[in-house]
Amino acid sequence: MDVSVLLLLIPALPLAASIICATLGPRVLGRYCHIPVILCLVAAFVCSFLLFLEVPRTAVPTESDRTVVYERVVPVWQWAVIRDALPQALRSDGGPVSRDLSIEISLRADAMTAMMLTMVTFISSLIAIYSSGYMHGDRGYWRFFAYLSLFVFSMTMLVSASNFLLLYVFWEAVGVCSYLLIGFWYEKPEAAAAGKKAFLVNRIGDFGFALGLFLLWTTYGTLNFHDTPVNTPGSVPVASVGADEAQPSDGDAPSATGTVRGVLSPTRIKNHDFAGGRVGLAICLLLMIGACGKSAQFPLHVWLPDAMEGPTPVSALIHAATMVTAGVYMIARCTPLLMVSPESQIVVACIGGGTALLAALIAITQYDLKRVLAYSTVSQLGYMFLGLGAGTFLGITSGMFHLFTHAFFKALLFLGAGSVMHAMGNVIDMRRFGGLRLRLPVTHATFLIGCCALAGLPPFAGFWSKDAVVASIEEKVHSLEHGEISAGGEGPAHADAGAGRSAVPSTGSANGLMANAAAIYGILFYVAMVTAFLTALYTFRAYFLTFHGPERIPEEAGHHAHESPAAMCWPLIILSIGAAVAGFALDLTYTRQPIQLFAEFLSTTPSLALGSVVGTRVPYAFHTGIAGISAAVAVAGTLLATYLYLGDSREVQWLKSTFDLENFSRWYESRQRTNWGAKPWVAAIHRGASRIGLGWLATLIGQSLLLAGFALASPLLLGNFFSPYKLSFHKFFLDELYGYIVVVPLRLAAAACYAADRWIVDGLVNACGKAALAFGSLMRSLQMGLVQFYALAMFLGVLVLIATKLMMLAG
Amino acid sequence: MFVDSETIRFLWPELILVLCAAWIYLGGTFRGSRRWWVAFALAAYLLALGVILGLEGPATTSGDRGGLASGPILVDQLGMICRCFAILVGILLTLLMSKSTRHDLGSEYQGTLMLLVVGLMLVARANDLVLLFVSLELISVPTYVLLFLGRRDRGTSEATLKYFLLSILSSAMLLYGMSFLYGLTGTTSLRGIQAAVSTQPSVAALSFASLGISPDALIYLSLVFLVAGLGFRLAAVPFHFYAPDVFQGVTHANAALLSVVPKVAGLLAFTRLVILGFPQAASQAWEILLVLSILTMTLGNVCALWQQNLRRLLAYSSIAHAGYILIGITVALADSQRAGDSQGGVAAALVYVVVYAVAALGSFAVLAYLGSEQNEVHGVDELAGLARTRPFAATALSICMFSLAGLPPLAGFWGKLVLFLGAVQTSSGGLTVQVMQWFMILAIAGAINAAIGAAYYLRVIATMFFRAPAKTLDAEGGDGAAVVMLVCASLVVAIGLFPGIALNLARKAEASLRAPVSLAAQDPDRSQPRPVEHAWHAPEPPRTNL
Amino acid sequence: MNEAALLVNFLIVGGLLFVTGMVGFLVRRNLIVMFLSAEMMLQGVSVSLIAWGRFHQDLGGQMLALFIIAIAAAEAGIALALILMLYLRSQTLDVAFWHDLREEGQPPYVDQGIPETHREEHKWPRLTPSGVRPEVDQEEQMHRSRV
Repeated sequence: MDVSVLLLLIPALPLAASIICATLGPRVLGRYCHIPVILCLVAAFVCSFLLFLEVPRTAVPTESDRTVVYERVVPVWQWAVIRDALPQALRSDGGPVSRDLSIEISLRADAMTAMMLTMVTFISSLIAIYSSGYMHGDRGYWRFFAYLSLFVFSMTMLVSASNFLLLYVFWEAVGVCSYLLIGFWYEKPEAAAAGKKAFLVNRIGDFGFALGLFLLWTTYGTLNFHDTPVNTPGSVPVASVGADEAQPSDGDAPSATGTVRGVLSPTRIKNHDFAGGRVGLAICLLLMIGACGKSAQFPLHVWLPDAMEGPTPVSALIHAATMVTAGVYMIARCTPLLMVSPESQIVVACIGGGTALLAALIAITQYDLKRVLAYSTVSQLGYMFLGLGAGTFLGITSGMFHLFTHAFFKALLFLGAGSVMHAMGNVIDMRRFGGLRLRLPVTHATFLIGCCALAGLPPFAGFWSKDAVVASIEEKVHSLEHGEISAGGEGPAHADAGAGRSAVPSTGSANGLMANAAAIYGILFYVAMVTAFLTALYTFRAYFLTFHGPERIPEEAGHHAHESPAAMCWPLIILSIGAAVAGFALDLTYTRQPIQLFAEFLSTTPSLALGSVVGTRVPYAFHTGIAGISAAVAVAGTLLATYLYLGDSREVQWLKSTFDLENFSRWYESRQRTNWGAKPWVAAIHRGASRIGLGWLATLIGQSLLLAGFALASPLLLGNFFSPYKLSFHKFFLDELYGYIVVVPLRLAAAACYAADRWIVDGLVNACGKAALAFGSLMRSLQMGLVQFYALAMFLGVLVLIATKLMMLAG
Repeated sequence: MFVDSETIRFLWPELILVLCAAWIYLGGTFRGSRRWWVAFALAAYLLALGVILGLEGPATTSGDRGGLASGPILVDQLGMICRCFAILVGILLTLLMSKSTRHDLGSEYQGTLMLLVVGLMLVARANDLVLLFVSLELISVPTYVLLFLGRRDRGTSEATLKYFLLSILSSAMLLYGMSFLYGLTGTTSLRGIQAAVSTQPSVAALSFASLGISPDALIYLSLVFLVAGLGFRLAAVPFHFYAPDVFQGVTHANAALLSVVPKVAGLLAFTRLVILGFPQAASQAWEILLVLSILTMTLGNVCALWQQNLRRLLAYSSIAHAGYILIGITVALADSQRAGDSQGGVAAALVYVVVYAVAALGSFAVLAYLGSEQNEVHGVDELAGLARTRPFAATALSICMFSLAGLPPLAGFWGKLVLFLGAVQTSSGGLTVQVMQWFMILAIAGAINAAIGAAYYLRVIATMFFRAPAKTLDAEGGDGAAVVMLVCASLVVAIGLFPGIALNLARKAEASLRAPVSLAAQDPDRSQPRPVEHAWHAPEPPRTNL
Repeated sequence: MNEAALLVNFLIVGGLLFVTGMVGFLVRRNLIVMFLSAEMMLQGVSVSLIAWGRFHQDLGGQMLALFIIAIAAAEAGIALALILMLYLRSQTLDVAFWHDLREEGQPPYVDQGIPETHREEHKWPRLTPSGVRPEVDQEEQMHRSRV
């Protein structure tokens, strides 16, 4: 089938399923709602897979240039054209610039999109199958499937949009679907609140994204990714642009006459015509804020753990595998914009690394199985950002590679957790169940594979992709230290291409940042290593707590405590195969001819064909050293978890109490405190003292002693409050911190604004409204119902018009 | 031979409809079934539509029909598109009235409606004052009958009476304006008028000067009376007074008719008469219309804020929309003053009137659907909780009202957008500073009014969605009304999603409207009125002494 | 009399007819008279049109006038039917009777009526009776007072 047909079918099928479910669901389909959804999603997956196969086949390499670019744009329709919307074209240096705002609904196919589409439709098909078992018997069965396929529609549109505006629209659409699905059980107050929280936190990110779009538009004069012909809107010819079609990149020649160059189009990339400087930096940072919101990066990560209130398949699909990676996708798509402002790349890397570490630290102490997985998702997303932040070819492809493998094993883990929940009667607290490995054999086996992948144990998928990320950081440090690549990120081969216009970004305020780039990346390397250790630790902690130890089953489980039905087991098995093999099947660097298939596939994406990215492309190699270290670290983490949770309990208890400073808590916790009044000798002294009239003295002494004790113990109490265990357990008090520094001031400000609004603004607005009403009332009084009055009004109208003219003529 | 066969050929759709209407009148005495005549009328409309698209579509697009263009009818894109729209309106109204008419009057109703549609189709292509007047009356006269037939009670009688008397008055004013126009140029052909007015100074003007009559004064007088006559049809201030009372008194279907047909006819007559015939008076015309536009939309919106009766509310909303339509005409007039590209004022007004018509028809269809013959829906409060009791009707009404309020991505948004953009662009590229200032005021007034307007539409929607159901409505308006409601709602959404189609059609229509202007300017032969070409004129006008 | 002066004279007549009709429309409350006033306006237009047509040596104006007459006839038919129906319903031809449809909350129009003339003071001339008393038609008296 033709690519354009495939591209249209992929989103259309889930949309059709959604409409069918929404209209026929409640009355006709009933408990068979999953059938159209599963059929459509599987069909969409088949289409995506065909597209996936089509892309490398049609990407024809050229001899003149070593970069192969494949892009195919399918315009669906021209939604709107607003003529002369841009007052003046700000950047008119390269080719014609349209002043119209044309909103074009067009889809694109390139390697990155094909990869994302395949991944999304594959995971969502499996999850739809799984949900048919998991959600069985729920009252909102049809609603769930309608939302689910609507989400898949939005997500496929998001990744295949060829326009920033369309991207933004579906960015919001997936947010809405996520909101609806988090709050799916809206009668439950926590679910409703979590949905609201996710929505509001995402608004912050989306606000930044929207500002970024405005800035993009005023800077580039278009929001399309691809080139658009001028003056003939709505008839964009289907363009398959190879690298050879562009003119030789001599810097100032217009690329293709008669076309408006898209923001991320191959011609613009060829000429390296991107806005640098402060504008470029601002665009990147604003887009980054958007990505942080959607991909749950620090400081906007707080919504994701709470989003686990939704049904577990939703957590697996939206909040682990697909939607949260939208931010990563967007940043990867915008690589050319980031390349010209390296400061923003450092920011991306720092946020990614910091988030990875923070989330891993929090995950260690959580007792909610899904929450552990949620924090691990945040942490792994941090890894992806870290890879993107490296800004090298290896870094970006490894970030995307990690996205790809992560989708498999994290979906697997969540579905496994869902299976556990299903068996345990919706209990998810790991302290209340344990030793389930015999009861749930399939879940146990697949969960173990998922854990190995997540922990990064070779040869499972996570190992390869995480290793690639770490390796890219190491390589970046290496290149920075040895000056192979200039700090500006300009490839030496292309320094002449676009340097004239855009290679002056690193002068300015961020000089200090750039100077320390090597050191920063060096720190990030160690952060990544520590995080890898922690990842293995918390992953296996969860695994051991759930599946090992003495068998404990909560009473809510009832007679459900057995393996899940086949509809839930098969997706687990399929995903576990993926989690096991996706890594070494695609990363062939360990073979004799080292090649990373995944990176090779992605390299045909226009965004990655930028000269400065390609310049950092080094021959594939298996980084034995780094692989060894990270494998060792992962194994160490796993062993520690094994020791802590399977080892001698007394030793572990001692260790824990030492490191967690749990002893201090006995000092102030009331049940531990000695009841002094009950001690006979104290009572005797007190009685005696009161008998001789000095009772007040005893009380005074007692109280002052108590006060002094508290004063002396306060540092210890404080220390207890901030003990590492508690910090981690309470998620570094970030929610509380936000509560105090954001929510409370906001509430106060809101109260103040409310008062101002109520008394001042409302007064004004009401006055205006009243004025309109009063005017209306006045006019109404003319409407008295008499024909002749109406006729008189008409006649007077004519007379007034004539009289005005006469008066104007006269004077 | 009065009319040559070529003209007949281009009148086939109208002739078919007239014959069918006659057949319906005759047949109605023998066969009273309402359902049968509705089906017959629908078939007739479809046949006429087929004839338009099949026979004339290729002929119209092939270019200017030289000889015909100066005859009583024009063959151009504008006429073509508007006739198709007229037939669409006819079909929708037929469906809408299919149950609301009394059973024994079904055939009269349909026949009269068909004549009215013919009138609208003729207005769209009139190139002659006589034909224009006759076709406008062909709309008005059936309207009186339809209004009266709708229901038998005091309110209907009173509404019909008011509409009738004021409509005659406005016709008289329109005619008086036409008489000045005719006197100024000596020809009833619009194209001839255009040519005569654009030659400066015309022969007639020279002879007026000797009489002490200034041609400018004549132009102005004629303009004022034309504005009065057509302003009544558009429901522009101060010719709007009839609208709330009449809307309140008549049935929902008739209110839909009143809100759509006269407005479309008025706009078309305005475009034909004022814009085509009056390039000279444009400077005076746009001042009048700009003030009227601001007054009209403001008054319509502020009065609508008070309304509890739904039809009255929609009547004021129709007044407000007349104000928006006038923005387009004003922009077009201001543009015609200067050379160069137009800002698309006429196109914007055309798009807007279509968008308004569809949404208004949809709203009235929902109201008609919700009521029954005995219990019509009157008050806004009666719609409380409709979203729960009648979700489809509530959704359709909300879509239509959102569109009327101008919310994206519905059709109304694009309508308002192109109108306001036209005003803004004129305000930035006008002829003089004064023009620019005025148009800036116009654009601001439009924006403020759009905000005020949203209030009362949203009030209705909020009533439907956020209040507990008060009473169950009968919902016996019939399948026809339900179909109209769904068609209109989906049209609103479709135009909102694919605005390009509507905008392009309107631009083409505007271009075809302006095309003869350039022809007349280029061709020296056509710069003078040539009465000989008029198909209805005798070759040698006899000279008689009075 | 030259053509131009003729034109002006006719225009003045036409204009006067138009304005008279308009004034009649505005001040008379009888429905039939109002309609007739509107017809008078149309006739004023017709006169103007014919005058213009003569001035321009063009038959278009007369043509339009003919059509005006035809349409006025059609409207007259409808008008009379409508007025008849209204009369049957309300038993009055007063246009001010019909003002039920108006803005909510507006006070109804109250006919103030003609100020009463004091009948007592009015002295009819009295003649010495001779022959038969003239008969007074009751119905006619009714109409007289009303119209």
